[in-house]
Amino acid sequence: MNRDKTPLDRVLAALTVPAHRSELDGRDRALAAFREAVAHPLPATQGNPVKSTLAKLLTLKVGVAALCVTVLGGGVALATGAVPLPGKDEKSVSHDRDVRLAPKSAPSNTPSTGSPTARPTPSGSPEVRLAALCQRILRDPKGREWRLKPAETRGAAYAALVKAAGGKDEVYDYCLSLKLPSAEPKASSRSSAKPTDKPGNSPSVRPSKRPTSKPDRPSTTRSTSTKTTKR
Amino acid sequence: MEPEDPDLGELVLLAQRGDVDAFDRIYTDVQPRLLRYLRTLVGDEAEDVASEAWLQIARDLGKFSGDSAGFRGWTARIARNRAMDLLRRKQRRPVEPVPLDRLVELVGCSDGPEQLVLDELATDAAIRFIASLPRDQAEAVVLRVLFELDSAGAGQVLGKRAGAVRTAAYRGLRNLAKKLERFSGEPVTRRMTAALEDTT
Repeated sequence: MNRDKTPLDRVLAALTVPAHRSELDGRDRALAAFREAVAHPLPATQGNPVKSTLAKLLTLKVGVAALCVTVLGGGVALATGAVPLPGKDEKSVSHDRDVRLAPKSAPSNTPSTGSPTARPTPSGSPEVRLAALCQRILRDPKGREWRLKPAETRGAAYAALVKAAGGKDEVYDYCLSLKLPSAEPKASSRSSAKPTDKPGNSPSVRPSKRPTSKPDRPSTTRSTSTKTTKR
Repeated sequence: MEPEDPDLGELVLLAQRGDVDAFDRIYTDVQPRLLRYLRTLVGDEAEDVASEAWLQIARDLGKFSGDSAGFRGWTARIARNRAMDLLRRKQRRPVEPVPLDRLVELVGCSDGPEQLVLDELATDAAIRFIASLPRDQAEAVVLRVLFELDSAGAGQVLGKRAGAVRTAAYRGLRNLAKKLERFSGEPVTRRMTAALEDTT
């Protein structure tokens, strides 16, 4: 650097001159530290204990934060309906969608849960929906009187059932002939291969404002069913 | 800082293989920069801080990869972190008096750079003079002039953007120039601009 002509140049030149001897007094210590580092290199994971501790703490904090976000986010999603609850799913299917559009993941048909929210939703093939409707009819003490009303007032599923049975007068017997596993209230053996919907719980039917709750059904089921039919 | 400006990137590679001579040359080049930089930050405690910094440099040398400027910046960052720890404990930056008589002698004499190399007091006066600047300006000037970092490299050391470093360096050199004008009466604005350009 040739900054020897002006005051500033001279200051900067004095700043950048090569080392003065006294400035290298720590050389031996530095070289000793270097030899020590070469002889005993630190494992990569033990680079800095402070950093390591901080990293652990940060990991813990991130984990807690992720858990909070999951819980809160899940709660928000449930509250806003973004995540389908089994019970709520029935309503959404029954109210917001065409009855022929089954939910993507139909709840299990196994009746072992007994919980209203775990109640199976008739879905999938038309046979399943017909079977579920048959169960409702057979469980209904006035099931044989369904034929007295015009089929059109009972929805598309009932119309399909009438067609399958060969007439509205044949519907009840047709349903009996299906030998549904849980068709009779006192039926004890149930097959998981077929839907086991209890009557009045079929969202695919949408029996248009008719009361569907049954005396033998739990109150929770009734309330769910009522909501389903009123909406 | 060595007369022939060694290739620190290459020396680091040698030192990473255990070459003690290479590390010695690194030390000879970098130590004066670190020590003078630290003098502007922590004053008389610069040597202790520099020793701590070298312990970390020796220990973490294997993790570094880069060229000369990158290595100087890396060592400056290590030293600065140590200095900031000390300043946080002390809660104030020490202010050393500028030896005005020595400074007047420095800027007024006609000795060449060969004499400056031998003049330790001149270097001390220059360091104290720069240390009298606000810290951000002093650091910017030192990192750009002494460590020969560009604005971006100095910004990485300081945790600032390149533009902020450029501004701080400009203001620092302007302030130094204004103070020096009182001694010499010579306009130095043009020279100051040349000094900045040299370190770009």
